[in-house]
Amino acid sequence: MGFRFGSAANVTAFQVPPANSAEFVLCTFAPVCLPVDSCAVFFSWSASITVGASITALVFRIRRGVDTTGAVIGAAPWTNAAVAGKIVLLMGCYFDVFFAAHSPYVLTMSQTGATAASTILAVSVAAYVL
Amino acid sequence: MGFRAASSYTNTQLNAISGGTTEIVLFTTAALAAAMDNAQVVLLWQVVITIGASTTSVSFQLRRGIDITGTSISAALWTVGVAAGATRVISGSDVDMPTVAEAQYSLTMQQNSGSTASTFVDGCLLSFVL
Repeated sequence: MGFRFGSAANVTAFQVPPANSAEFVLCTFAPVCLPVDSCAVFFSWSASITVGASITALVFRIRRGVDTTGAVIGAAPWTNAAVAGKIVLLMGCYFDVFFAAHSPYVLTMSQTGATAASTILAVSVAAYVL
Repeated sequence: MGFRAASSYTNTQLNAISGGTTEIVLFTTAALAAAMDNAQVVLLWQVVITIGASTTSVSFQLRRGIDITGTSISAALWTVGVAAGATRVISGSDVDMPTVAEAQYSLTMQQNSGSTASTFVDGCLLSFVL
């Protein structure tokens, strides 16, 4: 008998961007059930965004947990230079090796220099174990 | 009885970005044991870099093997226009059918102009068999 490994996907924005540079949760991953403690979780993410006024960069992170306090995966935040008023389509991938039975994650975003909120046009995240 | 499809992942930067137009290897995956000779290998990558002075575009390739002499699996260079000094999130994906028992891949990068090296911030290369 075969079996499937855990996966999670979401296309619903979790929070509306604020009109400032505070980090917020853009999208959540449901907990992925890991078959073994040492297995890697792979992530894919994408977002289409109309950049708000005064913003010079959009910064993304994937964090363990359900909010902006969890450990960041990766070596550094993922910053992309942006121009206010423009629509951008950004995407990426990463992985995590997490020694826990169930591991929720969040994709977060912050808006450098924001005086007005960006508009989220679409977002998607996927997490999967192979 | 089930089985796991092979996968590999890395975020270890192997070489500093060159301050000219020299192609360098950013990441190399471990060898993947494909379940069948005609199995397809899916490759995902993400790179965050701060663009060096005078650089107007950067190009990426996925190559079989561990260096810049390996066969490129793409039909052409993946080139993106950039602005010097800006930090960018750049990502991509591709699929290969290596028809060998142990498939290993490298993500390479080159600047197409500019004598100042771009600065690597973070990134990864994922490969898996489906």
